[in-house]
Amino acid sequence: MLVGNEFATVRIEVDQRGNGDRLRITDERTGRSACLDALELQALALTTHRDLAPLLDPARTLWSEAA
Amino acid sequence: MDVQQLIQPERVHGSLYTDPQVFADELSRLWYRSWVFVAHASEIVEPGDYVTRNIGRQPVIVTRAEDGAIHVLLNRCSHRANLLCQADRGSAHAFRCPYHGWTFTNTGELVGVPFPQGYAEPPRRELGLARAPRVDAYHGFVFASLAPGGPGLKEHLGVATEAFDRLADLSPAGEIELTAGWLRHRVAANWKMAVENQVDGYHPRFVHESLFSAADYQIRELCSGNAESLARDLGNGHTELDFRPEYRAEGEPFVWFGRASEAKFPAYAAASAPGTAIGAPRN
Repeated sequence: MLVGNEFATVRIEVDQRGNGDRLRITDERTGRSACLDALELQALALTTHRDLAPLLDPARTLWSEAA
Repeated sequence: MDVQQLIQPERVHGSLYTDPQVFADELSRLWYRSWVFVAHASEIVEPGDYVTRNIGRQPVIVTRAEDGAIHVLLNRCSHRANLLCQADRGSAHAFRCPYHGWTFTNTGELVGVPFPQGYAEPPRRELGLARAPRVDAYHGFVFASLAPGGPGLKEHLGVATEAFDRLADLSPAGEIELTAGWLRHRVAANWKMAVENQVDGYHPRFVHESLFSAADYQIRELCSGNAESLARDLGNGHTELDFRPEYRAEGEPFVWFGRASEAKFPAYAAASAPGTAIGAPRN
């Protein structure tokens, strides 16, 4: 399943390769992906967009020195 | 420029529609000072929803924040003034400029910039998006003003609030939703032509005659010589073309809705039948 807006498009799927289900999110632009387990997803469900905003700092992700 | 000399009791000067200086004055004195309709609240129901609109020549983003508040932000990156949001509508809690990647929350705060170490002083949070200093709504119709001071929205609307009241009053819920889409007209003419056309009940029998011929369309009678319809000056620059007197004279069910068959909307027909609250006679 694809989720996109004018700024990004990601593919999401349930990844069952581990010992338990995880949600795999793949950035269509870079091909990089992350697997989030239920406890991590619960934390996301309980957080606010304001708290998430620092993660959207482009210097931390797409254009970080490590990227 | 003194426009008074261009506006006389029985005629107006054509330059009001063509002179670039008149247009520049209209932008600064009207569009960038007064209240301008930007969106209906039902167009941005979910937190993160946004639509892009214009106030005069300034592009703006109308956003619904996480706390439900509506913000009207200038759709220009605070870095190089590039258009930030390109889409007509969408859902995003952050906007990233396609030019250099500067990223902002949907309330206009600067989240961060790529390669901040390249700056002697990294860009600060003060470099958020410019915003309309005043935002207010009436019956869900969201207006913004680019001026920090001046009359409030209700004072600006004045008697015209009654037209919004009547519209909301047609709904059993007392509020309308703009969820079925709408038509956008791109008019290659001075903006006043489009406004004045809305209160011109004279032209439909000529411009729209082919439409009347193709369908049993109620506007034909509404705009005829004997019709009781009237154009009304509501003050503050507000006007309306009021068909109600002619609707009443014709006395047909849903003549105001294109004589649509009640079978197409039985729930609404029942909710608005005579004897119900919204079916009660109005002034």
